[in-house]
Amino acid sequence: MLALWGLWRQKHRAIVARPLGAAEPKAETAMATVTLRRSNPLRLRLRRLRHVLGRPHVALSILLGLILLYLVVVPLVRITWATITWQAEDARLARGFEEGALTLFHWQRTFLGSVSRELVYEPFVNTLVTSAGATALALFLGCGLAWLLTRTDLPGRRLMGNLVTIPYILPSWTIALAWVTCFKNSRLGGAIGFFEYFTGIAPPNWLAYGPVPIIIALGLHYYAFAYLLMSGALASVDIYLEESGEILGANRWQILRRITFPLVLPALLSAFILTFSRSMGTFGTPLFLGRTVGYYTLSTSLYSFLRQGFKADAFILGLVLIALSAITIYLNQRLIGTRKSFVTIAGRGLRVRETPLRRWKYPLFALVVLFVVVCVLSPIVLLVWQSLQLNDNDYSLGNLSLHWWTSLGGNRLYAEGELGLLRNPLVWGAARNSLLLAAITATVVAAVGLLLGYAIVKGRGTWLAKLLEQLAFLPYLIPSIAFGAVYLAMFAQPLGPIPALYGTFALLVLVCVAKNLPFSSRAGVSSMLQVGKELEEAAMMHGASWFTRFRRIIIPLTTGGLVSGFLLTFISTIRELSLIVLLVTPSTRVLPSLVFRYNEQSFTQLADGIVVVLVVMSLASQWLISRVKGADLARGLRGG
Amino acid sequence: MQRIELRHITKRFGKTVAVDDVSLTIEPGSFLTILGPSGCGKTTILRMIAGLEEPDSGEILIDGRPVFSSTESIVVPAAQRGLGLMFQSYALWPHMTVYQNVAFGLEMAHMPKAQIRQRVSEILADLQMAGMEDRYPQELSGGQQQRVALARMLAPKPGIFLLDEPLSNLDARLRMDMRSELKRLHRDTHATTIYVTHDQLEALTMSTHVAVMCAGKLQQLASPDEVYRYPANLFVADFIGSPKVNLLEGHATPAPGGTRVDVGQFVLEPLPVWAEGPVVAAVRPEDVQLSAEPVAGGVEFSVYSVLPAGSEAIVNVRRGETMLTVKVGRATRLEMDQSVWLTFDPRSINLYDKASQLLIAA
Repeated sequence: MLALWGLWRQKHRAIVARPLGAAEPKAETAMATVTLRRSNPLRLRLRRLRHVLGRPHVALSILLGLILLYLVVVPLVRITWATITWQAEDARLARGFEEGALTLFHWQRTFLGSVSRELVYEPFVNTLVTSAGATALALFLGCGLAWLLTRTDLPGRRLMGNLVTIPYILPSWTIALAWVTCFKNSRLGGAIGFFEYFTGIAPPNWLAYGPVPIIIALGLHYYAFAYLLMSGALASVDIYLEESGEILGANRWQILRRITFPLVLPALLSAFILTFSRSMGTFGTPLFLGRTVGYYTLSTSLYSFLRQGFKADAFILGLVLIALSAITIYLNQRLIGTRKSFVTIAGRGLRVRETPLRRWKYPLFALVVLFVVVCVLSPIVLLVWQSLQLNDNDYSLGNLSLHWWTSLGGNRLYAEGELGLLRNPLVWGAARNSLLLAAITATVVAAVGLLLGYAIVKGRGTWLAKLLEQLAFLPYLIPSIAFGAVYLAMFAQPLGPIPALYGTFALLVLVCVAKNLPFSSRAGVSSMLQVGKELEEAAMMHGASWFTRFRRIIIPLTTGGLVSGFLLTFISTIRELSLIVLLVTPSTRVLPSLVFRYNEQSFTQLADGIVVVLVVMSLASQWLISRVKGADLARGLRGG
Repeated sequence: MQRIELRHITKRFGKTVAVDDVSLTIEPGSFLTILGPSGCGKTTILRMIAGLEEPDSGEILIDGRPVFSSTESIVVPAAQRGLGLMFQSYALWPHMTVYQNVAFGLEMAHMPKAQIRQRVSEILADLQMAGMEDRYPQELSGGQQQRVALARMLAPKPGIFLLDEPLSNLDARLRMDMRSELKRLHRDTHATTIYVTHDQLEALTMSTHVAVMCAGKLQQLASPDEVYRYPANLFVADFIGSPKVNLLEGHATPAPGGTRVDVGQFVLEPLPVWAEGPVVAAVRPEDVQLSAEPVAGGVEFSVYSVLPAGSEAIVNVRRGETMLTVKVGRATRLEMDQSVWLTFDPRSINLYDKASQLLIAA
């Protein structure tokens, strides 16, 4: 050590020559009288301002705050404003008003008018019924599967565990389309489905359309939330907690009820809220399964209001949806309260208790296999099969054909001469748009999420950081279809320096980015918390600029989170319909909206074929995610 | 000159006052330890000097140059203050090798590559870490990580060392070794050093000055010896020393040759100070003479418990409600409940005013 300091000591000796601690009194008094020269007040104030704004996380917070304000708050204000002022299109219904003047006309018409019953109250009840039913089904399936696949000795748990998450990866309305394919009946005119073809029995209307299939189709998609959250929670309940109960004389049922259940309750409530609010805002499933028999939910009703040009009324329904969603989330947070942290008590490498199923083992195994085959795999198989039928709903082998995939088109008998999927420029264009939308959205979201996380974590405890966190959470409260409506209102006309974005691709990106912010900002916060502030401060001490610190320290340390965040957003964007259905135009068409269009035109095989393409794309991205270390679906759900 | 001066520094976090109007001057080349229980604001002071935290008010001067001033809105960035900081967690970058960690500061200073290589290998060799250049921090033991953190701090040759509980993550043996190495390092470099710890032994063994803090306030700034012998107030007296000092509440009256203090069960006199009224007498356990036989002027106590600790033994003795701790040599053999006689050296007793808690000076 001595040698090392030789040179340096030489250099510093002149400065530090005094014996340690013994201060020369003269020097001390000289130093003590150093007083700072006063600058003039204006320069002082400027210096202070520049200093506060010059802190990177403050500047970043302000910038991000403004962007969020613009992307989330302003649209909400505008949509509300539109419902309480006269609109140009009201000329059809009323006269003698001044456009832009305040009025309660829309609220009265929506809630007290002659069509309120069909267009508002019934959809409201239907929304509650389908969401509650779907949530109940999803929680039952999710919890049951989670328990069977994490806490028992059921055979093949790994494989089953992977298979049962597939519905979550697919577009939410895949099952709805498969359901129609299977159960559509001849009573409403139109072709018969798979079921009637093979059994000769026409399924009753209540089974083919309306609330029952909507509940089942939604439940079979959203149970994955409950499954992922609950299996994570169940796997992290430490065996010792349960063994302590056992030693104190509790039986298996008492342990489950008194120890395990309270520990996983927060996860259960999260699953509930996630499922319920998503079911409320979903659009595809209730449309495909309800419209045929005039069964509307708030989201489909909102859509038809817009279709008919009653913008203000549609916005009111949007506000109702937002209120409903906000109330549910508020109640949930009141219920969970401080219990939120239960699931994270246990560390890594804990042992999990396996309950032996004994004689129930194989019956339950058979049941799970049956579930996977019927509810997970068969909808996909059915859609593939249908896309290979030359004539719709003819399940004979002779009817199999690649026509819908490869035809050169022109045959007016088949879908008015649409080209086969693989030759269809419409499909290629939509696929290109889909990939582009997902890739751009995912990139922007991952980057903004990290920046938000940085600003929030660095500013912890300041009101600016709290505000930012709340703002970023806001889109979570707004159901997808309502979010789309909000953006429609916001960007139909130019706003300040921003031109009217309706019909542009940029608008789709914007809405997808905004809707994904709650998840990405949480992921960003948790990545930043993992990095910790000292690693950045150490670089600061050495004089690294903010940019250098980001490039050399923060980004390398958050790569795992960034990549998994990117892929999760990518998956959820590529299958998104509810959010963008109101905003797409022919030039910005994406694959899900093309499915929607073909479905409306009754080009069933084409619609199904595109769903198959989407399924393949989703599964491929999911496979990619599983390749990334530390990334998994459940993590994305919890936002970290 | 590497003198550091803090003037009326106050820092709040929300409603809590972390550092409350602290002023202190750290002489060039001295080794100052900031000592205090956790949450007393000692790390906050270090971070404010480093430039990682901004005081709400006050001034910080290094070499007589203001690096922070609330009234003048001066904030010199951390890197321009010419100091090195070692974090309690070490804060080694996990995605960089040992070499990259140590070289980082030199790169930031735009040192030529060849020189960086030379300097890094030189400093690693000196810290007995040669050959570890390509390892990642996770692959090193706690002691090795500590050395890398030290190397990283030293590489750019800062004139001031700031060390935040650098030894708290090491086991007892390694801690002893590192203490002597750090002391040696300070001797060799003469860099002004500020060392934060809650371990009084570290404070007393290593530093030239000790600043004792409590609840954001500076309690005493003095040499280790003075802090131990003449604690400025009851908090410092109680905090410094192991086993703890005996505090006896009593009443002081003037007496021939000084002051007479009645502590209830017995009387201490004559103390060579002037005091009157309610006081607290502080007696170090090692300053009490214990005898198994009756002695002249001895106060009779009974043995409550005996805790042998190798070279010495800690004895708790009791008289009525009064309990005292006494340190005795290992030769003394004592049984519980036996009678012993204590004598006190009046010159080793510090007297504190009960109301103000302050030391009554001789």
